[in-house]
Amino acid sequence: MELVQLMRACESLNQLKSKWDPALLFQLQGRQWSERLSDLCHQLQNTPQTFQEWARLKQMDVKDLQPLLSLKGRVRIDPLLEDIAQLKVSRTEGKQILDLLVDLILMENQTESLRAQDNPNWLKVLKQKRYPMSHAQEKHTPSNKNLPRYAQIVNFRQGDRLLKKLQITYSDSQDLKDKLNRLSSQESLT
Amino acid sequence: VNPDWKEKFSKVLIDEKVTSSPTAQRFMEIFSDRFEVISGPPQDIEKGELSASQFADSKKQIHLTEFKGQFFKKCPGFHKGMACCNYFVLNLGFQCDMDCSYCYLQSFINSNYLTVYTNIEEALGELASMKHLHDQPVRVGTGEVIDSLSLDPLTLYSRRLIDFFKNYPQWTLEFKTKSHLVDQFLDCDHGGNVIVSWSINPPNIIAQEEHRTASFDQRMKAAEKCLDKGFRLSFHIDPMIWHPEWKDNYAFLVDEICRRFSPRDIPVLSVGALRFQPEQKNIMRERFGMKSLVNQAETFQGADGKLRYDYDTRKEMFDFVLGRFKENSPLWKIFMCMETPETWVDTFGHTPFHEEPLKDFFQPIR
Repeated sequence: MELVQLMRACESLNQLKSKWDPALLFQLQGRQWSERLSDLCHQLQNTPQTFQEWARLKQMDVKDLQPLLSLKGRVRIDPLLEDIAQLKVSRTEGKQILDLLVDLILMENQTESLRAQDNPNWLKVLKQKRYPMSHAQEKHTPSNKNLPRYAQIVNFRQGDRLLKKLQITYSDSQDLKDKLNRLSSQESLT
Repeated sequence: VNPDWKEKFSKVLIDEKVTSSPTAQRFMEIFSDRFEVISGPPQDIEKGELSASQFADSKKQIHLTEFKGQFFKKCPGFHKGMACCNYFVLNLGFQCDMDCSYCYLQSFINSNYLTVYTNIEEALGELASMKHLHDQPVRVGTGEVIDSLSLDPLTLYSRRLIDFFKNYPQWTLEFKTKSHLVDQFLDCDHGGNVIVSWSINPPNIIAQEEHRTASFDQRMKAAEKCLDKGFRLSFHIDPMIWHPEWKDNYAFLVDEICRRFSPRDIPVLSVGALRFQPEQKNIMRERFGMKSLVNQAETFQGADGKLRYDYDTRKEMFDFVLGRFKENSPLWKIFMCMETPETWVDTFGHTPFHEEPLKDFFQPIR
């Protein structure tokens, strides 16, 4: 059973004033009950239904939803959780978006400034807000002025490294060979 | 004994199997008004991932028991892809009474008790039985999952360890701490193979991120006391934490070390930059919020899976600190903790195996 379903089952049992111990319910599903999990279920119960449904469909699990624990007592994220559900983002993107949103809310950003506004590049926009220094570095265009038109240098990130990539446009293997020879003799590249 | 112990620990549980140990006897005396002898694990022990409040509790509740596993282990820096400095760890407890925002214990402590192991004699027996290592330049640290000295006035383990290491001149014992509690072992006769080391950061980082630790000045003064008694010293400038004024603050730190000590006093220094497992992020954010410079950090996943600053940022920070030490004297020996061979090559021009003053640390143990 998914976390959201388990949380809902616990909620129903609570409403029925059942003597069922939530720990037992979770154990039956091969999960270990803990205060942390209890806190998370409580937090999840208070999220919009649309978000819960998205989380269920995407099989979001404990680790994926734990960022919500940092927002105890805050409701400002609700419209943003609704945006996640409405945009129907993938689980991988949703995890990253949720994590970034929690950071940005705690960094005192206004909810409205974080809304998705139907932007398919929402994740990218949030990353830029959250990592302004790295974004500025990445945005800094490498100089291509000494390069021939068929070659271009672009920045790209690989893990913790910001690297440069040389792109060459060519027609066939002989053309590539010629262009590489010309490039390697060019001083600006050495 | 520090008079604050009773304020620091609200609960002291002692396993009935260890009540006759000298450590338990001492705890019973110091915490005479609150210790309880129990059979088996504490009744309210939590297993599994702790909540933020349970983690906070785990720093205030002590459980004395015996350790049944292997005490002596290789340092986690042995991970594939990292340059390794032949460091071994001896864990005589689990969890720390101090509270650094970046502490990696937050990602794997799974008990709401600070555990102190009382069977130190078994630990030392295990070391004595490692005959194949007796003539090797092994470095043994006691500060991996518990601070080496912050509880030492209670356990007095330093005294027993210093005495034991006198018999193993090829080995080096390293206490690693963020406390200033050294008086309890200063009178010990040692074999010259004991390093007392401090994990150190500039005063502003200590105040903002290293809660309940000794101040910068207290740590420096404790180091001076140890030096006076012939102990070797070390400083680990780790984790370096980026913030807008980082250059000024780390310059102050380097200058203070250089002003108070000489390269002769400190066989080796290490530097490292902020790093943590991705799964640690949630509990750090819950406990310290986004005012913490650690939580604000712009980090990326490195080759070992940990989140780190961008490579160029790390390199700039290492170059700055290394350069500042070398400006003071070329004799300072500095190495980078838990960094890839790539970072070594870019910073020093070669791997640590070829850095003359550090060669011995990084030679593979036979």
